[in-house]
Amino acid sequence: MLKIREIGIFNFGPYRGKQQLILGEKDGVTLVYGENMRGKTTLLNAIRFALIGKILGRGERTLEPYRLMNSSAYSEGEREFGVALLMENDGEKIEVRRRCTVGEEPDRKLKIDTTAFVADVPQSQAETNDLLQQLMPEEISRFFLFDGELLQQYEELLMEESVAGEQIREAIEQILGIPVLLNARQDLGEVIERFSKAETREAKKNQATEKHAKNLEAVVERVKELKKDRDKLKEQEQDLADKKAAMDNALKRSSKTQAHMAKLEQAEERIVAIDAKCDAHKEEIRDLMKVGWLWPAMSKLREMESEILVAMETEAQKKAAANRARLIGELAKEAVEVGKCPVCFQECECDGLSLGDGSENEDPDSEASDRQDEANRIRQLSAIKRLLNHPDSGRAVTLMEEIMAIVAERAGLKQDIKDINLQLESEDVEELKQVQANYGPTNSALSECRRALKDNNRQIDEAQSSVNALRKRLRRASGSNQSEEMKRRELAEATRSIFEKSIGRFRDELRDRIEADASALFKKLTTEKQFSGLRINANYGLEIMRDDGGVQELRSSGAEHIVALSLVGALQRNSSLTGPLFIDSPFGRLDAEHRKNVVKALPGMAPQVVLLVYSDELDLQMARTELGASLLAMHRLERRTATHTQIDAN
Amino acid sequence: MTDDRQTIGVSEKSGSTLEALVDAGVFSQQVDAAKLALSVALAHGDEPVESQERTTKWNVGTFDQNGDVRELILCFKPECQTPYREAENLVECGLRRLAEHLESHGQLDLEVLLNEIPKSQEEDAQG
Repeated sequence: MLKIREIGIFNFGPYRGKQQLILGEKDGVTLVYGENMRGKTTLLNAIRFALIGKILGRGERTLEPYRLMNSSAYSEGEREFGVALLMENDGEKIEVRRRCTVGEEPDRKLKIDTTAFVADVPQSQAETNDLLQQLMPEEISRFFLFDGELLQQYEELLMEESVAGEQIREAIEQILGIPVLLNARQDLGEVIERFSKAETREAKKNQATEKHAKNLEAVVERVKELKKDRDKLKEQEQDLADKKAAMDNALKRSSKTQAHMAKLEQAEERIVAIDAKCDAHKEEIRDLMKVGWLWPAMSKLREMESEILVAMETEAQKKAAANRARLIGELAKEAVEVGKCPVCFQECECDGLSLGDGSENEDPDSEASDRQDEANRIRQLSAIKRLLNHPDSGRAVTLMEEIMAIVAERAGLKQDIKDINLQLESEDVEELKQVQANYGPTNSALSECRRALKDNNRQIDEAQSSVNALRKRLRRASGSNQSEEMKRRELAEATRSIFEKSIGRFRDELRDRIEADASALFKKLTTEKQFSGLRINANYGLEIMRDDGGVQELRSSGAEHIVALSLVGALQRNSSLTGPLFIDSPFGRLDAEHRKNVVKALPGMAPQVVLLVYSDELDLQMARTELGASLLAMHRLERRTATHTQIDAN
Repeated sequence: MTDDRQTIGVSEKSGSTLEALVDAGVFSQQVDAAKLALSVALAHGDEPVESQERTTKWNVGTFDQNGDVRELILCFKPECQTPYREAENLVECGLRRLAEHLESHGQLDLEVLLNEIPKSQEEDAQG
């Protein structure tokens, strides 16, 4: 069992100078309180760096270790930082020291010296590497040193074909010790191959078996080639899966940048669309303006038109009155001359009366002028009517209003683009573009590789069946003269078959145990009484079961967190390696009751538990009450300056 | 009408206004903008003044292909003997107005331009 007794850090992140965190020898829970930006994650990173030589940023992104040199120390000319872990593994004292020297700008090349001491005896580089690999293999470190906020990634285990899920599943199998059996099966395969070669060689010497032996040799050779192809394909698959997982992580990390870029693209597309609309409107307006130049004069023309019409009406009335007067005059003149009214035929006495015929008032010059005026008016009216016979300005006004609205919208969009570009300046757009460009091809290549692998496996199975059939024939042809090599090969095959079956059985048993342990822990942690436990799938993904026998499909962040903690606890209990549990921000979005349940369950999850929390995350009084004697110590990360945090300043 | 102009020209400043109007994308040719200016000046009842040096832009055949300009001027000023001289002077007056319009609105706002035209007494009474 691995326990960390003491953590020594020097100019590491915000930890200026040499500092120590002593965890002691007893089993139990240690609390490390620190507010945001005080160095909780850095402390976890220091332990991870000491054990596996890597540092993780947010979202599991690997960071360059030189970034963890204390910036004040660096600017004051210091160039060294490091971490030392004093541990105990199954009663043996082990110390690991990593001392880093940062090179000069601009490269800041980092030199790292790593030394391990076993019982105070310094180990060689190779021994140190072996020891560290044995103490904490990188693949399983995620179950010992982790960011509580990342626990939701275990949800991936429920998704088939998920690359991240596949990686977690492999890590789970590693912590459970399955690779030991897998390695044994592989070694037996090599033994079988060796015996098989000898067996064939021997059979070729015998005339009765020579033909079968040669055929067998050819098919075995084919199986070998196919297996070589399979290995290559598996390597390729792993490589592509790693790349895809890295891209998935990069895409998750850059969700803000993606949103900005999508907004940018949207704004740019909108500008193209409204520009096209604006151009079409302008084209239409240009056509309209070929006749539209008349619009300003239109109202005056209409006014003139009605004035002319009024004048013509007046003139017509005037003419009618004159005609009436002339007619009456003519009638009166006739009555005087005849002595009788020509209309009613009554006699009248008009002796001596002399009357004109009504034409005395007519001025021939005035009449000519009136006719000229009338002709002018008719001509002008006709011209006005022709000029007014043009489309009105309504459509052009509407188009111009729309153009003005487009111009305003465009200005807004341009400002948005400027703002987004300003934000994007501080984001790694190029990396994201590269990831986005490579994502599709990588995904296709991965699918293609998996198809090829499936096809290859089918061919191997077919060839293997031929091998088995040929071996049977060879056995029959050998009669009672079975070679020693044949017997050895058959024994090795029988042994491998035992391992084959035991792997399957071991996996099933482990899954059952994990399901049972995780369910028991889950029931302690959850506050929902209707949840009856957890059900495990082939990937070690855990589904929440309700007491009505159904599966809880929709899971909140809190529920996801509780399920993940249950899985981690169950893995610790069933692991071939027992170690400390360091959790940064362990409570995620858990409510007070769930926090209490988690705190209560912590001592049962691992012998050594260290929680890195901020004060609002975990109430000390509650922790004391719930943990009782299991609470070993409480430490504080105190701010001295922005670049200096002191462990247990008081 | 023998003394009438055979060509139409504009001053340097009005030439710039014509360019600005065409650049704004609302007119396909300067001649359309010049005729709009003429129409604006007529509608405002501007009294054209013959002055300053002008650069010839169009001959009257190009400027008034279907005779609408001439007819418009004669509608407004039936006694006019030199409609194209009148037209040239009105274009100049109108372009000054359009230059002021562009200055205050930044672009040609047709609705504003048409609303700025003084209404007749009858229209005022109606509206």
